[in-house]
Amino acid sequence: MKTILVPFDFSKCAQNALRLATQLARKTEAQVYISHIVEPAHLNLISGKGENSYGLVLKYFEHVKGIVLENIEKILQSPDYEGVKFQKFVEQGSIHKTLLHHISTLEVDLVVMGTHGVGGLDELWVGSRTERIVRYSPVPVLTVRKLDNDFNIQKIVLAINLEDKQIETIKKVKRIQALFAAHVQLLYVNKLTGFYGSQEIHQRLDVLAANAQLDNYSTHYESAYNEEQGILNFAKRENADLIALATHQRNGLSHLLAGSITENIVNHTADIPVLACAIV
Amino acid sequence: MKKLLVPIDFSDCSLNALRVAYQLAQKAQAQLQALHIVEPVYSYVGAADGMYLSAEVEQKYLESLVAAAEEKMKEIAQNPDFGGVELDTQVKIGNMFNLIKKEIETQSIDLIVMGTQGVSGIDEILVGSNTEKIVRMSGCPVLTVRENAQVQDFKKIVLATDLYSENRAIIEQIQALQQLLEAHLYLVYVNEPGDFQAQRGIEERKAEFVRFFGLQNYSFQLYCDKSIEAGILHYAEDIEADLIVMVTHQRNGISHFVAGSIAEDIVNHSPRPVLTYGLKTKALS
Repeated sequence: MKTILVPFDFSKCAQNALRLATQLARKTEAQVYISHIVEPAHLNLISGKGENSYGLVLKYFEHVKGIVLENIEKILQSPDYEGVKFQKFVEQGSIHKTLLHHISTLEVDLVVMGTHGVGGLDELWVGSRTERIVRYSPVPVLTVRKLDNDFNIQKIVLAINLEDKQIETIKKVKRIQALFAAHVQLLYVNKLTGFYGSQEIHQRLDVLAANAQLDNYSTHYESAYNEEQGILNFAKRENADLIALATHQRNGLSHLLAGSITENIVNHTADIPVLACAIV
Repeated sequence: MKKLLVPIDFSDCSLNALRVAYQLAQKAQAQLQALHIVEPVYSYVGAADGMYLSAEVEQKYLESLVAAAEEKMKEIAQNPDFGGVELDTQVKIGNMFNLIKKEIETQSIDLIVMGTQGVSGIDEILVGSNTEKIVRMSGCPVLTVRENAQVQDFKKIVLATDLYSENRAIIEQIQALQQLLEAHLYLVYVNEPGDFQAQRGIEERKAEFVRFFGLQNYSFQLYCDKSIEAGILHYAEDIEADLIVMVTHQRNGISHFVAGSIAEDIVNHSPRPVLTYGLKTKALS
């Protein structure tokens, strides 16, 4: 892992995300890109009639940029951020488009971002920003809300189905596992559709783990009416430090209709960070 | 547990059952009763040949059977393997079920230990049902032991339950047994596709169940399988259980374990010892 991208909006959870990214960067000697994006909508508010609006917008943006860079610098003075190389980007544009652009051009390996969580009607139409990144990012996205000072990843719950495609997901999670010498709990959520007997679940999970050459793991199942409930129940009961899962990238209408398990988890998980890995 | 009854037919199977009963009797400091039953075969013998056994011949035949049996029982009684426990041996003539029922009542038997070979096919309808019959008829629990079961100790006890229809008398007996054996209780609820339940809801039921009965030293698993019988057998296999406890329920359609056929199935197919309780089980004295 060489490059970590942290979208930053100064919120509590964004700062938590930055601290976590820093911990990861220390272990891998990666560099961290901090990205603050000002959406044009905000800038448009200050344009008035009779003036050179665009020039005003630019001037305002430069002003904002200066303040943002200064404030980020202040934050980085804390000992929490020692020993890691940071680069700061302050830009204007659409948040998720800009981030996705950075992910490809900067050869980002991992995105670590805060999530406020979304509930209610908004969830259906707007989705959270985090959701959108999770949906479109070609690299794993680690979402964080809270972070204890003595945060350590000892137990990773990796929720998978029993398809061979999941071997790739396991391999991606192995990299995080290695950094923390963590134990991985492979979890299959058993539902009425896609119901398997316990013995078969353990066997098939073992086969996937062997194919991915995974060590220090155990196999589990949870009976539930849907994946989100199963994963969240299990992770909470087990006091997991991290939830990992694969996300299928769906666009447009099919997404609106089917929804996404990962996005639901990201929105509803209380304090447990979620690592979403794209299945290519 | 004060008195154990072991029906003997001198097969390896029943002798193994006697060994297991002996271990239990030692632990509980209980009395052990070995009983051999000679069932008189009445006039249907020889009917096809047109030969009839006269009453005297039949009587002589029975007497020689009884004498031979009594010899073998004496050997058992004197066998040092069964030392240190009050062992009573008897030979009786009559119908097996009726005699056993009578023994249970007159002798206040607390547990019957029976050898079984396990069965499939037509026999399946008969053997498991023998256990069922005794259990339902007598209200006395029955422990079935396979002939090649190596029973060192009962430390892992599986209790299959639906978490709401168990009765206090039976659970108290099971707990008493658990304490006597210093065993760990493995509660299992089997999730089958025909009646799928989510873990979340079952956990609540389980918490209530544990609280209500004051269970100690236990674990719980929501196990998934294609049928309840398969789930119980596979779970016991997974954890290498020493004993499976089944409760046979009345046929009233409400209970999840319909008609007690599940208990029968387990008795017929389990390589591990199975302890079956019936609803008539008396409360602990």
